[in-house]
Amino acid sequence: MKLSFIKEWRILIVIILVVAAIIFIIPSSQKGVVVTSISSGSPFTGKVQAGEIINWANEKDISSPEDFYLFENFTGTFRFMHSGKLELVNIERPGLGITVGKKPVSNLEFGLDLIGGTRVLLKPKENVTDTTIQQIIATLETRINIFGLKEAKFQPIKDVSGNNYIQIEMAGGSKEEVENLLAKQGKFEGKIPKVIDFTNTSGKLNLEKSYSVNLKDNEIEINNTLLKINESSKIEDIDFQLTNLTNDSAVLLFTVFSGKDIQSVCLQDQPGICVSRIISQSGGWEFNFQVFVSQESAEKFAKVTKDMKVITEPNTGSKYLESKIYLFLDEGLIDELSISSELKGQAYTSPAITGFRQIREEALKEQLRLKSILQSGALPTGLETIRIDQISPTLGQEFFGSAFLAIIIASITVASVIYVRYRSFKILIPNMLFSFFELMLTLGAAALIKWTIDLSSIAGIIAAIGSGTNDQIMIIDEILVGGGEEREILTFKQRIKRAFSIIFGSAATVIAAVIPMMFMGIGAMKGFAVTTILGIFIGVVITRPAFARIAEKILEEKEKI
Amino acid sequence: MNYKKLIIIPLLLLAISLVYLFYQVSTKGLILDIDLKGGTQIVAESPTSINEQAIENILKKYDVDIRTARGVTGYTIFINFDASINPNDVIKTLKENGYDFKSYSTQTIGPALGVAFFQQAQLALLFAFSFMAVTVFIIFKKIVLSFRVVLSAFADIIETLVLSQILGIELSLATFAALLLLIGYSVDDDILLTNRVIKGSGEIKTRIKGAMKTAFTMVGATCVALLALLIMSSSLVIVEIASILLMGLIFDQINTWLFNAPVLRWYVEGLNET
Repeated sequence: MKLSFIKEWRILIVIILVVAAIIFIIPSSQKGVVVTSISSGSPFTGKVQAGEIINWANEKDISSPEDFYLFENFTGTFRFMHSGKLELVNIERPGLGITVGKKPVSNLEFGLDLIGGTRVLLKPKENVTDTTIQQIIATLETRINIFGLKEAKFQPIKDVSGNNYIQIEMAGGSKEEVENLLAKQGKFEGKIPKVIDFTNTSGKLNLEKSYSVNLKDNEIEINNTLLKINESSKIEDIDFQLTNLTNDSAVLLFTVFSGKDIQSVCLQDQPGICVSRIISQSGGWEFNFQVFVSQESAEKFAKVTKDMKVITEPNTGSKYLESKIYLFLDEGLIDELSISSELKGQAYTSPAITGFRQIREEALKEQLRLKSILQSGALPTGLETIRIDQISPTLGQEFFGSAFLAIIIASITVASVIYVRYRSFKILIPNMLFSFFELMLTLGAAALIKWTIDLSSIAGIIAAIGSGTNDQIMIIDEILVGGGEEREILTFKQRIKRAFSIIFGSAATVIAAVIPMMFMGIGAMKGFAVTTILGIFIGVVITRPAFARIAEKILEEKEKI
Repeated sequence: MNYKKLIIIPLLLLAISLVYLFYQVSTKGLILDIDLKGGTQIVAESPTSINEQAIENILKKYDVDIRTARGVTGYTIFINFDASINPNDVIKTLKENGYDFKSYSTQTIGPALGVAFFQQAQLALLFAFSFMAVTVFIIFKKIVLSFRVVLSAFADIIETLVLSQILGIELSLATFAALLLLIGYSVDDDILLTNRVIKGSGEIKTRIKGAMKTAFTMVGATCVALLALLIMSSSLVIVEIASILLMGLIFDQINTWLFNAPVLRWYVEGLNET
């Protein structure tokens, strides 16, 4: 009797685990909203983390994102409860800088192909180390945070041949935004041209000191260096390039700022501190924002502009220097700006970057893009977008819905096959019940290891439950077929033992065959492999032994009749 | 000894499949999906059924490849084309011709990445097959018994691959995954059969018949479930996996009952005679 009591434990364990899994999958009914993102510069930075639940703020219960966004214009002391703790935040200016979403209905995390969003795979253009990958990710994270793309997840990925990739998943973001913001290396340069006029093949370059420039055939000689067109050199620690050469003049393009000279960017307009504006102009919108550059580069600017002529614009009377400053991003010209005459020869550390777009939204976006790239700095290497997936949320839901319905229909058809074969609800009901148990246990285990369930994971769960059903049919048949002439020879226990040697054998081969799946397509089918293995493992260890015990009881009763 | 002649059918099937596969690989190559050769796929939903031919004509200049699947609330259309074409241009052309699907998903995979994925998938298939073979040898211990199981699993994979190519189902990461799973599944009924025949008692024929009855119930249940997935799901991943497994399981029945079972009977009877 004692032995049978121990055997019943198997069934008890299954029931306890299934209840635990369901409780685990479905979170408590406690109200609240979940924090989805916190932008840099938000008063909440450091006070609350993405993923936390906020359920109370300033004496009000928060049960929907709308409740929370009522505080969008709030200033003063903001008290709120997050994850059971009270926190105070002092909000000086309106704007929370935080986004919240509805609390999820389950603890399961769903993949991009089911909930929609953008996934990008970037490959460094050169071979890089793991440290460089981390550095790239940090830079890209800064860009995304400033730009305000929501809920971006970064993940370094290595394939079987050792190639490094960076995968980014985010809730929104168009292809163009991704390519212009993330795949750009972000090498920024500010260059000013100086024209050297020749009289009898010789001219003068005035920086801090004065240098003579001599024209020799297709070359110029400057500071004892010979330069052909498009060749570069350095003088007084300033890089320059010979960009144009005629018999009358030469144009030298001096690099006065580069990305590493930028110390900070004005992210938000703050009167008296820094400028960042969008101004309505005839035919469109002009944006500007200040950047703060190092003293060293400001001095280069002073040297280069020291001897420049001042030109007065006839229409407005404004006074400018004869040369403009040209701004380049990744070798492409993004802007050319006139330099106000007041700045001539000044070590100016807070220049402004401006631009123009016809539509206000576009001006805002471009301003934000440039700010993001300049603030984050250049990447150690260029990146190539080698994969981009944009999944529409409605299509994801359709896939999910159709998969769900398909599983239900599949269960019904499987049930009818089993009924047709055995003509017994006593066999059918435990069969279907145990398949449901296995589904719950596999989902529970997936939630426990925080596995993201995507379409391929769903396919894996179906595969595992399918092979579970097969095993159950076999257990029943081993017990039944063990009947007939074998009935007298083999006991129940022996028959079940034989069933389990088959079950273990087939589980082992399926797991062996599925493991290599994890390593193909840089994890595209990992979900399939993981859920299949998880489901089969749970089946063999937890549910199948319990099912065998039940089948034994049911069939024992049947045989007695 | 009539049953021994049955072995010819699966062997012939395998031989024909191998010849066809060799011919296709050496001439036009395998038909690959975008994730194994690079390209862009647009996925859109339509409440009504879609005339694939009409859309193909509209998008003629982009040289597209179109497939459809039926979902719960409507139909899903999959448009594949070269990675160098901007998907927005394709969507624009569709709109200009009156096909305004409300929501689009687009996926672009670079050609180099596709090639890498294909190599990884082939390697995965090779490893999966080797792992399975090792496991089978551990389970059966006897060379003859194991080799026959491994050979029929090999036949399952090759025949399924050939039929899927003939039917125009492109090889993708998802279909590769299905082939890997098939490697595992195909061994199931062989283990069942061998166990029943070797460890059971009574006449061999009856033992094989008993195993067949169980296996057919199992395969029947699996096949109806796969059919349901195939018909009901609007997701190409699930449709492709289901169709590959369905084909594979059918080939597996041929290979198990016309090859594996007779060889096993032959083997056991040979043992009994000596």
